[in-house]
Amino acid sequence: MVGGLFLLAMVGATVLAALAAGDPFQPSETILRSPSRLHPLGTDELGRDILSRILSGAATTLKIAIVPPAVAAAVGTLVGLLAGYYGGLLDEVLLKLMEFTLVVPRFLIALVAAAFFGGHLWLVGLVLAATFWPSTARLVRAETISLREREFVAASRSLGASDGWILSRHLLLLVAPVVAVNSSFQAGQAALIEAGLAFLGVGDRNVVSWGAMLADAQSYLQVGWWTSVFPGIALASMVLALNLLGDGLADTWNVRGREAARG
Amino acid sequence: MRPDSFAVFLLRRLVSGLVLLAMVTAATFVLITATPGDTAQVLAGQAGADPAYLALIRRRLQLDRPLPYQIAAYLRQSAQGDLGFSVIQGRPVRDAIGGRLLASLLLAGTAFFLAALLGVTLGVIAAHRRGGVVDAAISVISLLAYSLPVFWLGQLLIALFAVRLHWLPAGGMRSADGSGGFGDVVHHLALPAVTLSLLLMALIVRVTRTAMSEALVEDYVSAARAKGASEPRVLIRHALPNALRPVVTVLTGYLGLILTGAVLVETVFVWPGLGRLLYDSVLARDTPVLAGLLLLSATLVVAANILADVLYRALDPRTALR
Repeated sequence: MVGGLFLLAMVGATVLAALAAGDPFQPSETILRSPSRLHPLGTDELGRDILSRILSGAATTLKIAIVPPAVAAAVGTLVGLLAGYYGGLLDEVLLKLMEFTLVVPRFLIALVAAAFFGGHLWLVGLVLAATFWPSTARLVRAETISLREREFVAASRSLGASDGWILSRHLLLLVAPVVAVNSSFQAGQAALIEAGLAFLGVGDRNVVSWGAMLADAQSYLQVGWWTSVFPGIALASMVLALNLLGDGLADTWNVRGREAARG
Repeated sequence: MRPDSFAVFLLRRLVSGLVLLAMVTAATFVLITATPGDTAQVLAGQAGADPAYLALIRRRLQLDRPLPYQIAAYLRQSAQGDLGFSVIQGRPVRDAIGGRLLASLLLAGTAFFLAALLGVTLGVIAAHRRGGVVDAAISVISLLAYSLPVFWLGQLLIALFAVRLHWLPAGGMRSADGSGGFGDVVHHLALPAVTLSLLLMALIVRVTRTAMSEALVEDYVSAARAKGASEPRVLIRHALPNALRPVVTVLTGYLGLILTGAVLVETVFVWPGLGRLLYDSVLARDTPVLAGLLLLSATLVVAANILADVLYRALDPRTALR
């Protein structure tokens, strides 16, 4: 649960930053200045304040870490419930699709898409959501299959419950923990993928990205350690927090952890 | 139901794998055709090139043919080992990929070996000392290794070992003066291999720990202890073989990803492997090389999945009877 608290702090900091911090794009004369009172985390090679940039980058990371996994959770849960409950053609198609998305790594798809179509944040988000949901659906499907033959389902049905009622009132609540755990790990992955793309120079240039900050820092490792260390700590702690959240949720609800949720 | 013979099972997996590969290739082509920008324009060098020249390029590369025809032709050729010609590199795609293969295999192989060795060892120790300080420390290490962005970790390692301590080179595969032999390559390999192995190691530690913890409470482990087997023997001879299945799943699951999955690590360390080639061909719009790499990557994933099934059978003879 430490992860959850940390995340809340991150969100809080981001909101504060939006209200208070300096302009993350504002260049100045004071380039590559080590941390000081004016610039608590130093400045980069264009004299931009690193603290402002980290806070502004947090917004980027949070967007990409929250929206695609949330979309994937919604779509994946719906498809997984239906495929698991009814089986049939939908199930077949889902399994094939799942196999397909596993064959081509999502980072490669995102890389090719970002390089060819321009790496707008929403495009990266779209690729992530599109490649995340099949794995969510597969997990939900497996859960649903093991749940649908249980006695409470039969009991509910004998009381006259419709399929829609059983799916939305019983099964949805029971698969929710698996989805939540899976989404936390996907959020961590999403943050890493966005940063990785920005690091390779195919990210969104209109927003501040921790990955792009690290790419800029690569040339100044020798003269300005702070240009790499602080954005890196920010990114690593964000991912760590999301993974801790996933682990915490998995322990709380007794869900099989990351190994099952990966992919 | 009569269980399939192994040959039938293998054949079925091969066929479904080939179908999957054909689908991946088709998807790659659709993606590449859907991208903005025109291959012929890129090759002609400038916008506003002579239309006749553009038409010639299109005919040469069969870009004027319908997409399904292009896909079919590509599949037929690649089945014969011909992946096409990279006009940008000025040589066949097979040579472009082949030239990088050794470097990639060296990096990926070393990273795999390190990850498997360290991961299984730490996982076994953690399960053995479950709940203790050692277990907690190993958990923290694997969580960190799982969460650190590889490219940042690479930067930190360069900053420490290359820039500050001057122990290891910051990048490349050989020294620029060409003096070095095997030792020189190993010197250059150390940092990227460690960086690449960490994530995989973290995953292996976790699955090994979980599987070993489950195996260690089984009756056959108590039986082994009861007849006086030493603790290392119980761990390694009795519990470990039964805990390896999830480890095989993780390892083979990453086998296909690691050649092209090393894009970030190879970029940070300027390692001349396939990941770097992939990145360069994405930027240069070198679509034949890109398609070749995606096909190679998908082939590896499919092959790794089949390998996993074979290994499951080898590890657990009961699987064959089901």
